[in-house]
Amino acid sequence: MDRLAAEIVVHGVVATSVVALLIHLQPDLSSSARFRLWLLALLGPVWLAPLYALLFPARLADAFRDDWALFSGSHWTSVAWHGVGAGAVMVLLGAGLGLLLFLRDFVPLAAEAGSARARGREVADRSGVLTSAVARAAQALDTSAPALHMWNTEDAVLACRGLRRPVIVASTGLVRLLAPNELAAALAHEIAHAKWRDPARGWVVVVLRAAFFFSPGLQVAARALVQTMESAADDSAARAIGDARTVAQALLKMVGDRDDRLTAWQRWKKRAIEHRCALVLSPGRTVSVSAAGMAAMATGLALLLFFTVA
Amino acid sequence: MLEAALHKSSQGVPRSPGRAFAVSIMVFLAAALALRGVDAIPSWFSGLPRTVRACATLEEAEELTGVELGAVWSAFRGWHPVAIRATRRPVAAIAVTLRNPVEAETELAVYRSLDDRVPESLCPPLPSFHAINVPLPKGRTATLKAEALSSGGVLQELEWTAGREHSVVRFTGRTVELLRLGRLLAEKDP
Repeated sequence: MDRLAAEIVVHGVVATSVVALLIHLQPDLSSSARFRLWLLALLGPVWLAPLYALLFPARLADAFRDDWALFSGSHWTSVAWHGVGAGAVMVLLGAGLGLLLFLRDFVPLAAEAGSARARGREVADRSGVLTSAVARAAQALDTSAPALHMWNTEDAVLACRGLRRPVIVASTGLVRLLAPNELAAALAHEIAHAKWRDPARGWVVVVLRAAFFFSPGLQVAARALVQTMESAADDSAARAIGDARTVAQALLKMVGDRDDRLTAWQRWKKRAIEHRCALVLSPGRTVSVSAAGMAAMATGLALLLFFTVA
Repeated sequence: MLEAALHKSSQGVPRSPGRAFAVSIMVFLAAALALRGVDAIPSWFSGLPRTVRACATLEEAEELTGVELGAVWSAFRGWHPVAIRATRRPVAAIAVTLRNPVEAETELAVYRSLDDRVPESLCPPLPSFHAINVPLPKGRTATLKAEALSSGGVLQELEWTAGREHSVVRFTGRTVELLRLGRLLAEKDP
């Protein structure tokens, strides 16, 4: 079990590094291609490590480790300080880093979810501004309009929630903050999430992160995957309203421009949103990866991980 | 802020889809090379081949290989262990190097394998210029050799087989002392 966990840690680092490099070297990849690549980095180590252990026990033999493996953790057991092997130290440090990365995202998320519940009371959209904007955005995205829940609060709240039937949660403060075209862009973004059932996908990612909290590679891949889901929703919103600049303006308005009032978590979110703005505004991110191309990359990664033994 | 984002976005250069394949191949090759490099670091540190493990204790080496060398400890109580190495390939073998507590320049290396030879990765061959047979306890015979070191020095080597175990003892001290140590070890052989 320890060896399997160590293999998931090592495979996670390898898969995430490879995918990060692939994406970095190909800035023209579309959001869907990025999403599928990060999904590969997230899921590959999780199921390949047990599968290899089950189907190819000979991978663990010295003959494979010494003659065939690109990397074998057993070679690191020779490097030791006071009887503690470097391999074990690295796996433990990796596991600690994984736990920190998980808590760094999970704790603020849980706190934010708790404070959001207490933020304001639900009211009816009497003016009909939001309801009609949601209907228009849904039509532009070729999907049915999700239910709208409106909160009476000065905070600019906008989210897509719900596992089976996603709903849009918006606040009166949001309507006051954004110009009508920006509101349409922001709503289109959330409706894109609802269309793809991103809240459910997001929870699957959270469960995976919790289950594999010890894998730093998986934590990084999961965060990047969520960012890519956001970026894909930005792209959809830009196509729906026909103006990427408005999407970026809405995003930046919602995050605010006063760094000194933000917590570390909010500052990270702000930086992430600025990165998303750069992405949604960048031209030429249209290169998709065909099914055959993805299969080839998955095979390449599977081969690389096959010859990587913890 | 938006202008900064716009400036950043203008730096992207569109690429042809065909290049994606070449980039992927390059990334996978780079990853394979990096993994191989990381795997080789312990060997660079220790100077040992990747099939040889440095062990912290004799028990660890015995557990790894199935070769028993516990008699060395009882025979050379008081000698300081310098290195304990083990390998399972091509045959299971252990090497223990000990230093005389009184004469620090006198070293003893005991090699034992479960084969008719000790792998060269553990016991590198040395040019020998003299060899004779000497008797050991339990009716066994050992080969005593004088071997030349690359440094110009000379060491003595005693080599014998007992059952399925093959033993080699290398010693930088006097020949008579090596024979005494060899007999001590051979007495504890099965």
